[in-house]
Amino acid sequence: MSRPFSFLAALGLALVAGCGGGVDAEPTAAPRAILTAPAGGNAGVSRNLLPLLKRMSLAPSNVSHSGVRRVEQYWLVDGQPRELRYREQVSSDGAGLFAVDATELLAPASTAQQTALFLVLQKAREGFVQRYRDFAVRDVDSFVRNYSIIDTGALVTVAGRSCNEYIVQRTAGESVRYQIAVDAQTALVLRARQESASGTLLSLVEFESLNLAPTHAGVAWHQPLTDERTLPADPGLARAQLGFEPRLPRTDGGLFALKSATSIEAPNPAGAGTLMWAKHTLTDGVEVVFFLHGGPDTAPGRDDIVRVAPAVGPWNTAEGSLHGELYTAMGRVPVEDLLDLLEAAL
Amino acid sequence: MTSNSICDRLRSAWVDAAPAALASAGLEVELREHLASCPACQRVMRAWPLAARALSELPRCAAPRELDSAVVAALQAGARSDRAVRALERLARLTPPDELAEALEQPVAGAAPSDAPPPAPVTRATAPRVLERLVSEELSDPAKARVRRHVGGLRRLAAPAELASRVEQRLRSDRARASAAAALRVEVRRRLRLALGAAAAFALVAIALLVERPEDATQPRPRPFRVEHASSLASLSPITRGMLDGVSSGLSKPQSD
Repeated sequence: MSRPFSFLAALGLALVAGCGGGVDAEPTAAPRAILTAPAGGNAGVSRNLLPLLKRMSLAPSNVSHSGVRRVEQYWLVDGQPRELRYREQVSSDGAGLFAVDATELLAPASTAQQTALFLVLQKAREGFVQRYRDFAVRDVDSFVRNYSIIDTGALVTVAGRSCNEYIVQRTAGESVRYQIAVDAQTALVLRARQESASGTLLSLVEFESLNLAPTHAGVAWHQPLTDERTLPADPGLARAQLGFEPRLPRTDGGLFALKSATSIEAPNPAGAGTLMWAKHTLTDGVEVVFFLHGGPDTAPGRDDIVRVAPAVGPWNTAEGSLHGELYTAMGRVPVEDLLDLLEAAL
Repeated sequence: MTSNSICDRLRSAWVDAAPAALASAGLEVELREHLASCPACQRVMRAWPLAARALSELPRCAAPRELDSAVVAALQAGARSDRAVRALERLARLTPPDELAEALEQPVAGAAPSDAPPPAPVTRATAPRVLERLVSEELSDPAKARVRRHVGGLRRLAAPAELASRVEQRLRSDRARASAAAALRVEVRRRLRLALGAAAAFALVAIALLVERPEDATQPRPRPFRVEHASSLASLSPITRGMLDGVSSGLSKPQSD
């Protein structure tokens, strides 16, 4: 889809300095909306719902709770249908600590060993699960620009809690649709049903029990495993940390806001050793996009080619070597959005 | 009593009574004296046998069948028919007009009554066909015939002047309304043509835009790089595969793993 891009103000210092096409990462890991050119009004969001949206954006980390969730995923991976169902115990201390422990694998049918391996791996993935897997209002301003939310007027009960039901849909481009049940008291999303544009169920995450006064005794809180480090705002410091100047899309049509900027070390796709990447996490209000810049390509040869990988459920991926630099864009957004981001980074 | 009244009484008595029985029945003195002094009545007395003979020689016509039903229907039953009979009996008899008597007297004038040759047979005059038809219509549907007969004789009334002025005023009003409606139709057609023209122009522009959009949607817009579609996830970089594994809870890995 052709969409004019407006300026993406990335990081404050870089913008003030006006450093050409590149921008530096955010100085802190604290989420901060950076877009300055709204794509449209908030016709899809009633002003009456703005306080609720703000509460929803904060509730997962600000509301102390624990409970059991049932997770169901019905995805197409490489064109093949894949089903995954399991239960997990979730805990949040209301001050930023969290833990997500898969407790039971329901599907696919697996051996005890496979199940045990899955449960262990899920513990290693709990950072992704907590931050990116489920529906959440990740940035209120971007949500208002890019989504519509409709109060169905239905009062539903989830895990014994009285919830209001809403329909959330992206207004820009083809996207998935969410039917969510929001706890009337805490604004926690206790049930999220994700459907494709054609109405096919993609995933369901539902609390089966909820305790709003947990003791959190014996909870093994999440510990960072990827050794991600916040990128400093200073371009020189960021360059020193990465070994190259990090780049971000200059414009993105006002769709995305920057949530975090970190550096991460990963195996070098060109050979032995590791490679440092600048990892920028963007959000359109609900969905997330990981925009990674790997610096100069150490094995140039197939320059200016972007490979689009087969979709993994709602996740799309595009990566390539552009102008001698390695880039990867991955997100729960259309492929064209990813290509737009890559193009805007050149 | 006037002379004419005496003449009428004499002639009625002569007609009612048979000539042979007239003498025995006796005429009143008054009538005899009148007859002696009235030449007109004398002519009637002399012509009456000829008239009676001519009348008696006329062929009898049978009354139409419809007459009976018409009479019954008109008089209905019971005493009304009796009253009708009595009313008919009270009707005054008509005597032949003087002209008839004079006409009858001419052939026998001057001839001796005893040796006079017998009069020539009276030729019967047939009624005209139109009379037969009218009588037939009268008898078949008296009410209709009566209405037809009387309608033609009604006096024609002229329409009042106010009616004429009202009609003229109504006609002018109708013409004005028709003119206004015609003007309105013309204006509506003109505006409709304008609206249709604008809609057609808008549709052309919209179609052009819609036609252009699918091209944009189906044909990826030009990029400063070439886009290739990988056949599998295995060709992705390790960091991309690792992140996909995390966000998909392992679904991105092949099922055999």
